[in-house]
Amino acid sequence: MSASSVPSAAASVPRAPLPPTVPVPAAPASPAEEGSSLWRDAWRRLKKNRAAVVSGFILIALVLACILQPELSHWRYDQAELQVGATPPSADHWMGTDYFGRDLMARTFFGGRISFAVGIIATFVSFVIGVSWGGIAGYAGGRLDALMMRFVDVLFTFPFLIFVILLMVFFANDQTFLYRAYTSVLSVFVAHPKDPRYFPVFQIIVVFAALGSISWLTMARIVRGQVIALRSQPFVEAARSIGVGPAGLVFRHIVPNALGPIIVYTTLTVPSVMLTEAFLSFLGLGTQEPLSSWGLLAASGAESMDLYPWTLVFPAVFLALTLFCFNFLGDGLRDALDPKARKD
Amino acid sequence: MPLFTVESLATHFFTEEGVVRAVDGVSYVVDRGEVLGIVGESGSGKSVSSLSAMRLIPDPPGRIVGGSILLEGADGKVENLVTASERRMQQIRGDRVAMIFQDPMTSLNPYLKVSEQLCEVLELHRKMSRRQARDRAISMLTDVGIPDPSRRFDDYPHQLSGGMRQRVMIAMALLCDPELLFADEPTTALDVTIQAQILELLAERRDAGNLGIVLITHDLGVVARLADRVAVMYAGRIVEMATAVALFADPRHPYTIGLRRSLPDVGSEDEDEDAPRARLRPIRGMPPSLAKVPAGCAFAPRCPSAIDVCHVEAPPLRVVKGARLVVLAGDEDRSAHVVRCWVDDAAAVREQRAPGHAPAEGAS
Amino acid sequence: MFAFLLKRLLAIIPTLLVVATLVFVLVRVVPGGPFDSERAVPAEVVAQLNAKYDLDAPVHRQYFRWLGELVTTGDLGPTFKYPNRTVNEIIAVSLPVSMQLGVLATILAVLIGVPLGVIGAVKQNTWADTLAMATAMLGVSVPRFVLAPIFVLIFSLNLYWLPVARWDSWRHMVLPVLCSALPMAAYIARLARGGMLEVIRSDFVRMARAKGLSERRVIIKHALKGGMLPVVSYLGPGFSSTLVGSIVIEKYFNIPGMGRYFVEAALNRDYNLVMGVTLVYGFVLMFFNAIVDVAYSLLDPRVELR
Repeated sequence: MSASSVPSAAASVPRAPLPPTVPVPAAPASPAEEGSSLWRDAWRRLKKNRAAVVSGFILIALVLACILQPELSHWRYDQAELQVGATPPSADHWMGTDYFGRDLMARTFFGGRISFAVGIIATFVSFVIGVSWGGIAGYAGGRLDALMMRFVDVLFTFPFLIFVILLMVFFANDQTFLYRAYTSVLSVFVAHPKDPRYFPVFQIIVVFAALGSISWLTMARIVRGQVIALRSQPFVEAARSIGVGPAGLVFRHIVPNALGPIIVYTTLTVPSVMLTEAFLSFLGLGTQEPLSSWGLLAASGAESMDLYPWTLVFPAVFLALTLFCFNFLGDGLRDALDPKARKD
Repeated sequence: MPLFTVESLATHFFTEEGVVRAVDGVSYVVDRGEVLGIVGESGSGKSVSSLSAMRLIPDPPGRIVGGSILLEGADGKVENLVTASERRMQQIRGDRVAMIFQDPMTSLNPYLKVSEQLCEVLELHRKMSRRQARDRAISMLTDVGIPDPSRRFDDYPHQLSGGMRQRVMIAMALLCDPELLFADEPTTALDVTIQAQILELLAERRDAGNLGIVLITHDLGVVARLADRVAVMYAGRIVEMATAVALFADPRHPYTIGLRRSLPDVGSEDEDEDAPRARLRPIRGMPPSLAKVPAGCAFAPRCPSAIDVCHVEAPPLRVVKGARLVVLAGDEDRSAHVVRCWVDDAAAVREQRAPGHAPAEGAS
Repeated sequence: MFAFLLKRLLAIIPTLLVVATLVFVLVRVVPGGPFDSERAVPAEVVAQLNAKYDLDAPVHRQYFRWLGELVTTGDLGPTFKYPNRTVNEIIAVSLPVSMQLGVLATILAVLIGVPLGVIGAVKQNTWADTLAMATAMLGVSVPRFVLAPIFVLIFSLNLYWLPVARWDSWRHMVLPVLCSALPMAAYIARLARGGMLEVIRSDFVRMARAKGLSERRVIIKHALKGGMLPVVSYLGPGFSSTLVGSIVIEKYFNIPGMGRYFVEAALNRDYNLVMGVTLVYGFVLMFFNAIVDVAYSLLDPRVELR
């Protein structure tokens, strides 16, 4: 209250000492103020999205099944019983057997491990590359940014899958330098790294890298857009003023705040990577026998579909179900994290 | 019969967090050739009340749950817009009742030319040919003060400046010669100098065309310039209504007074260079969430003059009679000064202190 | 606009050059040549073949040879696995087939996806929306090579409506085009719905309603243009992935398209064919992307073609 020279109207009346300030009843804390950070809001919204929640649970169940079932079942995924051949579902083999008499259920769940691993690891690879690329380009700005994004633009217009096919054909064989590198690393762990048993794993690793190298482009674009939007925010200035270097600014301050769209895109990348792996397996370029993945199983099932439909149906259903759930989850995340979502 | 009468309008939004009573019993009247200003903070329900009048409230989650909105036609026939069919509303919108919005950049379709957006109103409501519509639209653009209108006509909105876009919106609203215009924050997104021009334009229109205008804003300065009468809204209700002159000369509701005082005093001509600048005096606290309006007077938690009954029972509208507030007789003129408050002690309210207490040190 | 197209066309050249160089080097650096097969072939024969095709020359020599031929005569060289045909011939025969498949699939995808998405948006959260989006979700989750056998099973083997393979008449085209189109249609439906929802909530749509336009007018005249922007943006990469995805369709339905040749060529180390197909794919797609950019600028006047 400013000092005023106006004499108070009640100057002639002896006054009790005034309280220091005019008491004003405290405004009740409005409900909107209780713990409404972006993440908590988003989590609440996500929980309300039934499709997303159910999808999440299904995915967790699937992952657990793929981890546990091959351990618990007494059939191994590569245990062939040629005289049995392909049989439809029965008490012994709940999902039937394939052409080589292998238990389809074991192969399906084991294949699930590979499919999930491929999806998650390849997505992780693209996440790392994309975030770094986009983060650096967005933060640096100017020439470097223009150059880096030109590179992305050029790659974007080119059918990258062509490259991947070529990569798989040329690198995933035992003559290349990559294979030699792999065996040298492997020799630390096992006695005979060149044993053909270990080759499929090498293949898979190349698949991871190849698939990861496709989806980082869009990730880089998204990250760059976010970084550009955030880098002129006051909190970045504040961090810079206390001496945080560029790397720290980008990776410890900006990126965590940009995580919304990044998370959404990452969740939606996993199914697309899994689909691409299936595509490659169909062409014979992805997962190799005797390993299995849902893509490989579906592909070989497709070939003998008229005779042994169950060999296609089970893996295809699992693959489709997983993709379904990831897509619903990704959509749910996008809706939950959308800052423009209004509670009209 | 006045042109436009809103009676006990209530619009509620049914959301997951509960029922939001955006408009909770609002009544006002607007006649031809007059400007009614509706003032309030965001969340007071001022925009919702006019969107309700045009039946533009998205349903779900919103719905008009009570009241009537009466529009009088040239032939004297009165229709209730709350019960009118959607078809009928489409005939009325843009033709007899028009609306302009706050941000001309987002309210004009960026993908269509200005000509397209202007002519469609004429082609729809007046059945004009493209040729005729074009001529009329261009002359309207001239009327609203757009230079070189025939060139601007074929532009896209993003090619125009902010002020010009707002003029285009006004032109668009006036093309069919409406009887009532809702102007929702028409100047908020504009520079101060442009603001003045736009308000000038609206004033001209009011004088020239016998147009009734409902001017919605949070800016008292805008209201002072243009409005004939003013209604102050808080938490979905009208808390004070009077002619502009009366409102500024003798505000009676603690909220209105708080609003006035929170205006920065930029200084008058005889400003004393040495006088200490007055502090900004905001109103303490925050408006209540419209989903959980407290019992009693909605402003009571923040009101320096609140008495016990204020926290318990919501006050009715009462009419100003000298220094006191008396119960409505029911036959008041629409320019009567009404206030929704229990506190009869005008001096206490003015001094922003509790009635019965001596004025605090430094009260102006 | 034409200046823009020309600029983009010219810009394709350096990219193609870089890609061509990379692939050229890649395929030759990796061990294994086109004539090293599992069958025992006498070493001298292999050596002779290599010499005939100049494969024993240093890489850069081969490169400039190949490039020179291409630039001066447009000849992409001979293939190794089909001795009587050149790469140009193979591409001339297979490219139209792949393009037909790709273009038809894209058109069908738009024709199915856009209305599905718009309906979903306009009738948001009703059963129509849920149905449309569930279908779209299914389309995105089922791989083409699973769709194909299912369709074949239903339409060919059980209903006898359509033939199983090959590409001879329009009847042959139905299933492959459908299989190619559906995943893209599903994705477009989601994009269209998202785009429309965004636009429907915007201020200018509210303005259009405030002018008294009927809801149908509002949607078609005001909302549709803006709502379709995400779809148009996607057409470039979408066509690309459909074209490449058709490799699977071509294999399954035994369609003599470029994709099939590509995979075989890669597996057979048929260098020239690989180069040729890669270049053609790249060119076609980059050209298509340029056209899509033009289309986008026509829809959104705020976008300037640079």
